[in-house]
Amino acid sequence: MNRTTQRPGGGEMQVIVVYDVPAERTHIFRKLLRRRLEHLQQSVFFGKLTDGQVTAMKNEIEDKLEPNDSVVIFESTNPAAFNFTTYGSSEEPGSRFT
Amino acid sequence: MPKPNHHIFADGELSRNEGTLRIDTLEGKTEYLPIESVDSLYLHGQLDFNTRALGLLNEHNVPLHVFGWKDYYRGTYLPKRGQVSGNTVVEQVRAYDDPARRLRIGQSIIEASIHNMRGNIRYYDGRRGKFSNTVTKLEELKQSVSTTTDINELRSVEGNARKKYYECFDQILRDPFTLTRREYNPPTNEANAGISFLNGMVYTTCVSAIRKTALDPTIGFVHEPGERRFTLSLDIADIFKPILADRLLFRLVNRQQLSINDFEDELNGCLLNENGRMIVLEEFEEMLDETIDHPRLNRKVSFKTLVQTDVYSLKKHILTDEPYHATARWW
Repeated sequence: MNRTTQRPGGGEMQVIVVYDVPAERTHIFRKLLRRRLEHLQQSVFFGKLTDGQVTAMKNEIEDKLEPNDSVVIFESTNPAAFNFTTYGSSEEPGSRFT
Repeated sequence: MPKPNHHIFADGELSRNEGTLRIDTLEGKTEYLPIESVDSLYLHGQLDFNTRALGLLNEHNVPLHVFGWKDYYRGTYLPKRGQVSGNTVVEQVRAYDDPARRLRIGQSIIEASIHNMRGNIRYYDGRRGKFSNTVTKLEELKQSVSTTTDINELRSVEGNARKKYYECFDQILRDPFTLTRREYNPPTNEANAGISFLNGMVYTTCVSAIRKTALDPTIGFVHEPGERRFTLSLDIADIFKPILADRLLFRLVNRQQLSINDFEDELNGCLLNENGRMIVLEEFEEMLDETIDHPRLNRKVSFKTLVQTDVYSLKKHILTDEPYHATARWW
């Protein structure tokens, strides 16, 4: 199943990507996602991307997809409607300092 | 909104891994930077890196600004030109070489620069002291820019304005910060150190913006193209220093976000310490993302985009003689 909800307008959006794929295939998606997004947890990525980046990422994911892979992309164009709370040893996402 | 910058304070190693940047800190932490979502990279710590890492930055057009001991600006590794246009460079050199055209561009830059200085002083007039004389003086100097007949005269007007402008800093900055004289190389006290550090950040912001065009960063119009300096960046930085650097310093000092303890003075110089730099940079980055309504573009733009549009406007002026809109604050 492959379902995308259409959203209005262009520009920038917050994106969360999670995947569940066989162990020997995780590196494929990890590599693909790390280039654009922050690696939050094992198979969870987060970041701000442009429309174009999201489209490119989706195309790349589709190309790499095999029958048992599962990837879900969450998108939000409204930054005001986006909140997060971190617990435990998680670091604040989106830091520009290392 | 443009992509964010990333600052590395940690010491360690920078390498290429799985098609992206990997940072291994000496403390044993490993981080991966999303290379496609970084605008410019700033190195403040001691880092090792190799050609493979530079190659990656190259592929993704990420400039690398290097800061050395005590955060002195050391230089920039610029990616291979993404934008090449012989035509632009030829026209840029022609504009520089034609005294009338050069003067016209220089006047736009200095007018905007003085206008922006005046904006800061006017804001603090009555709040932190009486500056109405300086405001008038700056207005006069701004008026006199259009009557200058050569670049040296223009530069002396700019120098006078800057002198008047800096004279107000001592009163604007909350005690115990003092600025009796603007001094650098090395900065002699806390206020000078803050200005120097922020000016450096504005300069690198301009370097990154100019790199996104085909303009040659070494050929400036107000500053004489010398050696080892990006004079065009210095020109553009002059416009933005009052907006991006000085205003931020006033705010940080007067709201007591930055204290005298955030500086260290050793070996007859004064610089921000690690904690101070973090405070300043966090606020600086946040400000670059702040947006304002842009009447000409009819949309909201961030301060970072504002620097970019200024450079685009200059390029367009050089190529097509459309008027150059040096950024003079309207908000």
